[in-house]
Amino acid sequence: MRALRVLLLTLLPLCSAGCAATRASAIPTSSELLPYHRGAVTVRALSDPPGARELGAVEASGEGSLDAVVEAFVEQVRGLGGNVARIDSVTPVVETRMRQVSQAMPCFGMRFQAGCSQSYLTPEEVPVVRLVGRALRVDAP
Amino acid sequence: MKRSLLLLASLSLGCGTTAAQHHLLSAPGAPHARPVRTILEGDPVPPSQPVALVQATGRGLNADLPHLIEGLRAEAQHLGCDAVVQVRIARGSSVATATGFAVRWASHPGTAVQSTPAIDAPWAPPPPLPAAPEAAAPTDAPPPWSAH
Repeated sequence: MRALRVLLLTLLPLCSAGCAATRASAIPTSSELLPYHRGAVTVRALSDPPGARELGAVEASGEGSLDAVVEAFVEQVRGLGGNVARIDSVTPVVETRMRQVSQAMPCFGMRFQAGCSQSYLTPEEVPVVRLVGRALRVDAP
Repeated sequence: MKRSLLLLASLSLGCGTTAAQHHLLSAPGAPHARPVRTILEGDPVPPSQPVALVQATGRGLNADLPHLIEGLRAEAQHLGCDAVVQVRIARGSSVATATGFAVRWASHPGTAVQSTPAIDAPWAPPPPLPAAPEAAAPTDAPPPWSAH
């Protein structure tokens, strides 16, 4: 029983840290395979730049900072060789996650009044932003 | 008892926060206090220049539509924008969040803003319905289906 509790208390912070991370993925939709783009990437919305070629579909989601979500999106665009990150839609989502709460409590029946605490899980609503768009390539004129 | 209830009630009235953030897509303008329009996802968007991706999040008593829209508008005003377009909203039980694009009209800073009839047309009462055809005057003759 104690081993199970130790395992649970060890895994929960790891899981919550992993769940809180920004996630992103991309898939090429063109036969044109380009190397990783190390130059500047322009983020666009509402319209495509003239002369753009589509390289792939990209999505990214995360909580907290919008900058981090957009940066993850741009990183996927770079991976497809694109120099324009075109955001097609932005979707807000409220996700429910379990959060570990530690609470100090008195240590009854123990010789020393060392710090005793109990941990429990509580549901928490987290605002998440999901970006869906495309990686585009625009050649310099 | 009454005093503690009043204290709880007054505390609960303050239990709400609204936070907004943005990610710049182009150079922002000077902050202003002009009205900012809100256009929901799916509604037509006049020609415009996106300035930033904006998000507003309300918690507690502020997790409702008015606070979210106000948060988006305040952020757009701070960025010198004319509207927030493609606005989407998600709501939980204690958290609500909204996203959109803060934009400047393409004609900015010109005098006339291009109008979209579906959005900008003032409300007008619908035209009156055409007059109903006059009913035939009642006669003493029996209806045709009753004649044999």
